[in-house]
Amino acid sequence: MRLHAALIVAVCALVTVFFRSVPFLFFGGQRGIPRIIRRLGRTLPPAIMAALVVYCLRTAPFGSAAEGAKQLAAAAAVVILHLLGKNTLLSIAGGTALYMLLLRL
Amino acid sequence: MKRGERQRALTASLPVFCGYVFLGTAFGATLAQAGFGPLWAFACSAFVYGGSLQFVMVPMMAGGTSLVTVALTALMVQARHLFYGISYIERFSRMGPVRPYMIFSLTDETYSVFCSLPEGESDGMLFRVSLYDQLYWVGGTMIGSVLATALPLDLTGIDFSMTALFIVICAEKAMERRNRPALALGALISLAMLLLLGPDRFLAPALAVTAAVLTLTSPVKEGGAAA
Repeated sequence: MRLHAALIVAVCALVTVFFRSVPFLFFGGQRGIPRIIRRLGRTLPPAIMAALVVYCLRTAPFGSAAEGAKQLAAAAAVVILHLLGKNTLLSIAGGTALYMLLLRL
Repeated sequence: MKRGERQRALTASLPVFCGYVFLGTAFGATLAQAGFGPLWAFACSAFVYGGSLQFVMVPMMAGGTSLVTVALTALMVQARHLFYGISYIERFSRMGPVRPYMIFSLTDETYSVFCSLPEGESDGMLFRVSLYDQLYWVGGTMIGSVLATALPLDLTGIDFSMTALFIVICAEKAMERRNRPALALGALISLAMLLLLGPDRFLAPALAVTAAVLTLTSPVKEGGAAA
C-alpha cells in the first residue's frame, strides 16, 4: 500500500512537471497558441473544479441520510460564509469547523 | 541592494504566506490523519507542489486508487498551469540555471504575485518570490503534519478542508458570469457519472467526458478579439 502511495506521488510529480513545462516545450515564440487551447484554458478549470466538488461529496448520495446531510450542511455553510465574507480562509475554516463539529454530535 | 530585494520579495509574497501556511497546515494534517506522516508531507509539497492536486491525492493514496485514474486526475487538475508559463517563456529563458525551478514552481499564487510586481523587476526578485512561496507551502505542510502526528488530537473531518477549498474556488468562479456554463457542465456530467458508476469508479470517466464535451462544443469561429 505504501509502495502504491509512493507511485501516486511520483505520477503526480511527473504530470505536474510536465504540464508546467509544456508551454516552454511546445509553444515557444512565433508558433503561438492554438485557439482551442486558449479556449480550453478558460473553460476547463471551472468545469474541473466543479467535478472535484462532486468528487469530494461523492459519498453523500450513498451513505446514511445523516452523514449526507452533515456534508451538505457544511458545504452550504462554506458557500454562505463566502458570499457574505468573501474571505477564502474564513470560509474554509468555518465550513471545516462546522463539519468536524457535526461529526461529533 | 540584496537586503532591499529580500524585504521586497517578502512583502510581495505576504498574501501567499498567509494562504499557504494555513492551507499547508490543513493539508499536512489531512495527510497525517490518513496515515501518511511528515516525510510523505514533505515529498508531496516539495515534488508535486500543487494545492488542489495534493489534497485530491490524499483519498487516492489512502484508498489505493488506480494509477490511471490518478494520472488522468492529475492531468486535468494541473492542466491550467499550462497557461501561466506562456507569459513567462522569454523571461525564464534568460534566467540560466534556475530556469527549470522557475518553471516547476509557477503555481497560481506565484503567478499572481508576478502579475502584481512592477515592470522590469530583477531576476533575483522573481526567483526569491518563487522560492519563498514554496518555502511557505512546505513549512505550513510540515507544521500541520507534525502537529497532527505528535499531538493526541482527533482530527476526524479535517479532510473537509479540501471540499471547502474547492467550493470556495467554484464560488469565486461563479461570480463571473462567463464561467457559469462550464461550472454547470462539470457539475452535471460528474453528478450523472456518479449516479451511474458509483463513488469509486466515476471520477476518471467524469473528467474525460467533461474535457471531451468542452473540446467538442468549442465554437469553430471565435468572434471578437483577434486570434
